[in-house]
Amino acid sequence: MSREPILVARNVTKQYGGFVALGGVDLTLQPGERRALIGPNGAGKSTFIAVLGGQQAVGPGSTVHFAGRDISGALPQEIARLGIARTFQINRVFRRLSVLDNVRTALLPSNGRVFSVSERHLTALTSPAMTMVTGLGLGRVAHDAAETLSLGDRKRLEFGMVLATRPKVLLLDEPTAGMGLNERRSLMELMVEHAARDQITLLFVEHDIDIVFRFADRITVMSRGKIFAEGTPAEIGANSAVQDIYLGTEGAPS
Amino acid sequence: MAAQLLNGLTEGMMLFLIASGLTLIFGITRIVNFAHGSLYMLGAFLAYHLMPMLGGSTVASFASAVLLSAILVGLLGLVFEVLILRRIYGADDLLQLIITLALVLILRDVVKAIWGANDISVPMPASLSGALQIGGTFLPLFQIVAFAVGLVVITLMVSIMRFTRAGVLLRAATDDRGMVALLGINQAWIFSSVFAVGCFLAGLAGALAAPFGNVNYLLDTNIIVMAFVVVVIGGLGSLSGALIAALSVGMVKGLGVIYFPRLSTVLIFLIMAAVLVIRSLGRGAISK
Repeated sequence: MSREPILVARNVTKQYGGFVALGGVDLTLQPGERRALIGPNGAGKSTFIAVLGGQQAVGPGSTVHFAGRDISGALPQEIARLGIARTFQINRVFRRLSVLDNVRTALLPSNGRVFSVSERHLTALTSPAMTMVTGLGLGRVAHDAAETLSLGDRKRLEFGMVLATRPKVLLLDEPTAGMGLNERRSLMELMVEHAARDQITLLFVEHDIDIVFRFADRITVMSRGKIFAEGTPAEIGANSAVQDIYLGTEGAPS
Repeated sequence: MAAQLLNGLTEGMMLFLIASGLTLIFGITRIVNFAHGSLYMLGAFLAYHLMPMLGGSTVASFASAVLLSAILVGLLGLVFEVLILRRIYGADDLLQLIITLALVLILRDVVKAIWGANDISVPMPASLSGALQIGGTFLPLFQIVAFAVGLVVITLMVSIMRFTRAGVLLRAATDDRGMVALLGINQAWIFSSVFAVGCFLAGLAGALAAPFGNVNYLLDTNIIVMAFVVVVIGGLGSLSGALIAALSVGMVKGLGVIYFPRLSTVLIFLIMAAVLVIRSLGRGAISK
């Protein structure tokens, strides 16, 4: 492939006091790929996502380039505006706002005049917002407060909101955590389908191996703050060292 | 009785104007602005100063003095936010508290230096100093007008909050300001405008309420205590809560003067204590 990578992280380090959370992580994402980031608890997956999203400052010597631009040290809102969006392990939506208002808020930055006090400017957002809400399968709860939704619906909403910011790269930290088996799959299907439609590159942390092998193009395995292995699902599935540190006795699904 | 009722409602409305700014600012920036009472006081002094310059005690000069005072106080708030507060949003609560407290002391000395330590009185506009006869009782016209101005402000606030982009954004930021940043929206803009609008409201209330009583440099602490009581009863960050709380406190004060004159102030603090206890019980019950 001759395409330019969209995200290049080089030698990313992060220390908390004496604890080395990230000990020099390299990762390159090609546009449009779906990369899974896996590894045992404490491997540094969430820290790495937080570094990419700007929630955590990188350590010395680290560089992160997004679409050719150095973003190491940028603020979260700057990174968001450039086109890297993220979701959290703990679901994050505006709990007291209606589903429709959540999406309308998310649509604000890409539609000019964020701080307008004209009624016309808000109503102009209503129909694109409703289209999104329906597309997420949330039409029946459009006017309910987000806090009254089920976890699955809140995750759909959160995903829809980050999608509304028109990201180029989407970082998902354990998108399916806490959900039932069927719900997991349908949520992932929704995400992958929308990502493919909008040509969004996905990097997702996931513990459900079934989800990982079903939805990822490539898999990166982390262990103790370092990259342990990287490859296609078939390669990772056949890697016995990976099975030892992570998959344990469960083995890899075919 | 009806006159006392109106008294209470008007006082409640003025309390709402100041408390709404306080609660709005807290809800979004998490800054507890101790200087809010000082800005109210400054509004009153500015109105006193501007009225003669704008043509004496006519309705037009009073109205323009009130509006101009509120705008000036709003601008002062904007400058304070941009120059000082903006640097300390992430800082320790104590530092924020000390800085707004410093503004209280500075403004008090500034007011004392410019207008002196004696009481001043702001005249009511001549044509509003009369009374309106409704069903055999005479109700002071100026109070009715002041109450009506408050209603206009509330209507404006509700429409902005419900029907505009700025309103949706403010509600969102009150809910989770970190998430607003994640969506790529510039927070600095929101914080500055909210702080300026909150200060504008304090200045508006101060100027509008100035004719009701004596104005002096000690007004700041008197009013900030009542404003905090209202905000605490209504729930920090809640505009509708502040409205209900402000009107209730105003009524208790207004009616209390007739039925239990010596207890009316104590009663307000008892209400606040009761609200806090009940709220803490509720939270305990939920977590069990």
